[in-house]
Amino acid sequence: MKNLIKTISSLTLMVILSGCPSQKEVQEIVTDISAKKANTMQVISTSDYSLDGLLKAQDYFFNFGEKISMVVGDPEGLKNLQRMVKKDGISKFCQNFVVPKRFWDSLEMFCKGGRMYRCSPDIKEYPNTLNKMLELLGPEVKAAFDQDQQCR
Amino acid sequence: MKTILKTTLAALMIQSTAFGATEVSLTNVAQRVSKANYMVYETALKVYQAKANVDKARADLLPRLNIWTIGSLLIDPLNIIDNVGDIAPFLVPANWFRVSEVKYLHLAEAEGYRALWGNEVLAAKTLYRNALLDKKLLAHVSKSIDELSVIHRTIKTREVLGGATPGGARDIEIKLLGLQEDRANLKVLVASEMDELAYALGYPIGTDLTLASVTMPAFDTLKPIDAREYEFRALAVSPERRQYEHFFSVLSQIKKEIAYNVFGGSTISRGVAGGIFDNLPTGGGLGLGNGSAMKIVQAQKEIMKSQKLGIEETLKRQLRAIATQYNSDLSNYGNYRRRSSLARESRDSLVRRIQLGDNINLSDLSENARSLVQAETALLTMNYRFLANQDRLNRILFEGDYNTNPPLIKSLKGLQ
Repeated sequence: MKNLIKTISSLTLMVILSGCPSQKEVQEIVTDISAKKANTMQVISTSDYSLDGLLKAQDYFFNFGEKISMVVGDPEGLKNLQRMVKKDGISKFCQNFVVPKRFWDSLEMFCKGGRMYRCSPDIKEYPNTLNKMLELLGPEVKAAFDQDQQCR
Repeated sequence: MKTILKTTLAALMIQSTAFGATEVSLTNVAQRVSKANYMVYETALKVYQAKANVDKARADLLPRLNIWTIGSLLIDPLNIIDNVGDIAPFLVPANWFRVSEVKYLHLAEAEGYRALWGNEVLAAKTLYRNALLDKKLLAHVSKSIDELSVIHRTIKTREVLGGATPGGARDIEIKLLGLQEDRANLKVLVASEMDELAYALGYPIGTDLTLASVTMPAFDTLKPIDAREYEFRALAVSPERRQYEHFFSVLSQIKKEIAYNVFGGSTISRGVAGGIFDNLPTGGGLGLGNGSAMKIVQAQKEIMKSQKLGIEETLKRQLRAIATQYNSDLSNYGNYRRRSSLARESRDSLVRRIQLGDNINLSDLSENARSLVQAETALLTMNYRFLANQDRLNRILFEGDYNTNPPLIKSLKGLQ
């Protein structure tokens, strides 16, 4: 009987492990906006406005806009976002996910430096996207956001 | 009597407006394509379907009961476990991931729509300029025919009266007939372009369109462009590339769907926009096939990454081609203009000498007529090619006419 239980448990474990994503895949799933934010900060602080550098930054701005547009009009998604901000606090939330506007300003200066705008609509619209997010999170969070060094 | 005259005049004016030509200008082509192009309308409806599918997918998370489920629950309440997908679909994590997929797919469909709209606007504007250019070429060829006819008559008279080598008038006539063939072909081409333009702008076939002329580029004020300066914008704004970014988000959700399918598979449809993912196995329940399913999804991601790379390289190549042609036309504009003006000067001088009775070498005259037509055609074509290149640059960067979002179905139906 014991052997049977052992066999069943091992089989179940094997099945569970085969069903779970491998370490690399897990890594890929969690290669989230936080890592992209870190890359963007690196690009902006080193003024690496090469094509590769800008594409790294674009990856963040595109993803940030995409996630916010997913939350707009979705009460469940908004609840999750509010829960996340409440749990971590606005400072930690910004540290993980938000490129402060003062960093964006430097990038925007480069974008406006050509005959035509050099960058993407996601970069151009970033302050509006941030405002949309803060509108969704409510006035209290917005006030805390405006005060916090990690955010503004 | 005065009143009758006034009424008749007013009626005639109304009639001439109602049955007269429809005037179109290049500046309102984009607007007209947005409002009336058949393909744009069809794709706007697909975006609408994708949007509606988001609402449907969300609603599908709520319990959906039918008489048979209720009946089976009354007979055996333990059936609730078998029917959890119907009674409490929100308890199945795969359904939540499926809803996210549908939302990403809606964003991808909207990008696809933007790409199609941009292409339709570009195609209509190109048709507009081509039709105008060919009309101008037609007028130019007709003018050349008139001018060559005068020369032909003069030479023929001189052949009869003496002073010109016999056979000269025949050579000119051969050129004249060639130009008449060109004119006939151009007329057919213009008619076909006008029909295609009417179709692209959503006018019924047979609508008589009048095209307003376009402003030629101010070459003296323009500067060369460097493709590298706009490479990033071309890639980042490209709806074709952005569509793939959304697809990657869908694939991440599909992976989660597989990882959590121990709680059951999703029955929510990905909708019209999700067809490309329908062959990916997500299964229902935990099994040994899940590892392979993950590998299949991962391979799909690799395929899409490679397709995205292909798009990026195509965009870079197109941008370079545009910049090269743009800069070449800009630097050669002076040559084109000078060549045309010299050819005309030379022709005027030859015509004056013929009229004064000079003995002109007929091969010189014939050669001059050919170079004049070529030089003026080249200048005209170059002007229009430059405009076309500027427009292609705008399309690739989504600038100018392309710097707005295409209309949504509500505004196309006049509901907004």
